[in-house]
Formats: sequence, structure tokens, C-alpha cells
Amino acid sequence: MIRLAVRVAREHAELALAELLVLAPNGVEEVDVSDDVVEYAVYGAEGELPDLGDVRAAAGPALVEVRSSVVGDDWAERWREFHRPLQIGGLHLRAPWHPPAGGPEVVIDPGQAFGTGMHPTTRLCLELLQALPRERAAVADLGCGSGVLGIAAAKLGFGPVDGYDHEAESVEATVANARANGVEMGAHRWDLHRDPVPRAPVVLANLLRPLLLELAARLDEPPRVLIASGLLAHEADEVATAFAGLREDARLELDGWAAVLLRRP
Amino acid sequence: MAKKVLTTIKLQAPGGQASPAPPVGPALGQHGINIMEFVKAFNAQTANDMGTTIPVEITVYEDRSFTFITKTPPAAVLIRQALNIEKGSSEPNRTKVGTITQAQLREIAEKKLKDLNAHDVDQAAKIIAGTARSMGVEVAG
Repeated sequence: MIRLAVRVAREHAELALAELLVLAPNGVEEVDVSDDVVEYAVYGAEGELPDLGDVRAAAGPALVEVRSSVVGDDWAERWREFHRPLQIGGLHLRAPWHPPAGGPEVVIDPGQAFGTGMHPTTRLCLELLQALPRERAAVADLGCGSGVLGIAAAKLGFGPVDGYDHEAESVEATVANARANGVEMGAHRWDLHRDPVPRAPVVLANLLRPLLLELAARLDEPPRVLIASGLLAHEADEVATAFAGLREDARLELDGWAAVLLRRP
Repeated sequence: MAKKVLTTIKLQAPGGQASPAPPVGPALGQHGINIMEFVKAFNAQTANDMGTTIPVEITVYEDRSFTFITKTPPAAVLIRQALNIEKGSSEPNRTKVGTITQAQLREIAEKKLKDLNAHDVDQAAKIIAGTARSMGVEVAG
């Protein structure tokens, strides 16, 4: 992958940035080169980068220089080196390249999907999930990412378990991880904004506040149990009260994030 | 003991819509950060500025954990949004691309106040007016 860096005079940097963002709507990296010079960088494979002439024109009179460098292709995988196994309640969470710990475990290779188990929201959901009475009840894992929550549910005895996510990478990761863990879990490409809200007695929803509120408004019949997360701590009250017909039974917080357990009375 | 800082990374990324695609992915990934964890956290914190460019400064620690702070969108981006123009003028002294009202200036100034070197909204509005003029935007009133 190529890193194309545009260096501009700091006094005109903001204008140059605004113009560059037209060419790079996903954003840019910013580096303070010196007191007088700021660098804005875009990344892409050859043929994916903005035209050099357009970049120079966007920077306008602020342009100092344009330089390019090559970034190693392993950037998406480098985090693996620093990833550590984690014990959450009775479950040991590890990646396939870590040795087994011997007890009940969930093995997750997230690929390009969300959910190594390290994120506070995943950890909180796993704690709340383990606090539920073990039963053979169906589970819907909304925004399943790597499948970590659904797979943990299946390991705890819930079933059938189905995961729903709009990212193809997430569906692939969920299928592969379920197989690696020896559990049955369906994985469906699903647009939670438009497709019908999946129904199950137990719903796991590690999403974000706007989508949770949207689902709360669209849900015609509340599940028996809902574990909702992806919430900043100050958003938990709003989301907990948005789901009509459910009342809050437990709330956990970690590092500024929150998860709530809601039940039908 | 405080964790040792490895590096800091600055990005300009769309609020509520950051993805692991470039530039976020490679910029963070090459330092060993779990990209999806940043994306989830950033999108949660910036959901109210959906699609608007948000400056974010990420502090990466030696164990590859990270914290970040977001700032207000660049003034030039807010001016462009307010006037619904795609670009500034390449000849700001000669070719004008729009006119900004005092009310629009104040609205942007209020939003930017905490990140500007200004004592009050009036002073902040003057700074925003300067940015507008250098984009080829006329200031009304």
C-alpha cells in the first residue's frame, strides 16, 4: 500500500485540508512535521489514490511538497502480536495462536470483523450473558462481528443461535469461528436498519446507541431478555428506557462503556 | 505506574462513519492497534456529527492499548457545509464562491470556541470570518 503525503504551510493548512478532504472523503492522517509545516496523508493501492495533479491543485499555494512511501501489507494483522488471552468469568477467551488454558474457552480469530473479546463492550456482554440461567433458548446475536457473543452463548448451552451482520467479513468470520469452536451458529448477512428485526427469546445487541434506539422503535414484540451494549456510560439510561415492555435488571460499566440487561417483567 | 506512550497519531475522519479502510486502517494498524476497536469507539463518540470530518488525536501505549480525544470539525469544513459548497475558490481575491451571514459565522464560532485561541464568540467569529475570506467566501454585514 502507498502512503501519499502532502506537506503544506501551516498557516494555510486548514484550507488545504478542506480541499483535500473532497478528494479523500474517508479522511486523512495528519502529522506535525515542524512549526511551519503540516503533512496530510492518504493511503491506497496504486490506482486507488487521488490523481497527483488534483492533490497539488487541492493544496494550492500552501503546497510545500508531495512525497510517497510504501507501507507494509501486514498493517491489518500487526495487532495480533500484542493480543493477549483473557478470562471473563468462567470463560477463557483466546486467539487460535494462543495455547489452550484447559477450561471452557472461546477461540476467536476476528479477521477483519469486530470482537476479539478485548473491547470493554464485548467483555461486559459476556459477563451479563454468563449471569443468565442456563437454558435451551434461541439466541439472536445482532451485529455479530466475529461471532464471539453467539459462540459463547452456544457454549453456555443456549440454542439455536443465529448471528446477523451487514458486513460480509463478519458473516465469514462468524461461520469460521463457530466451526473452530465446534458449535452450531447460523450467520446471516442482515441490514438491521432495513430488514425485519430478528426475533428470539434472548437477544444480544452489542451495537451503538443510534442503532439500538432505532431497533427499540421498530421492535413490535420485545424479547424475553435483551443484553444491549456498545453504549457510552452516559447513554445507558436513554437506551435502557427506550425498549418498551422491558425493564432494566442489571448494568455493568467498564472504561467508560456500559452494558445493560433488560428483561420482560 | 503510568503506561508508557509509544506514539500519538492524528487523523481527520468522518464522524460516526469511520471504517477500517484507509486511512484509519493503515495509519493505526501499522502501530499494532486493533483497528475495529478504535472504529467502534470513535463512531460511538462522534455519532452526533455523522459524516462531518472530526479531528482525532490517538495516544498509543506500549501494550497497544489506546486513548483518544476528538476536536471540533475544521472551520473550513463547517463553512463549506453551512453554504453547501463543495470547494473553496482557487482565486479567493477574485472569484467568490458564496456569502456567509453573521448568524452562520456565530453558529460556527460557538461550535469551534473551545478549540480556538479566542476569549469569546465575537473573537472566534472574527477568526472564522478570516478563514471564510481566504476560501473566497464573502462575509455579509
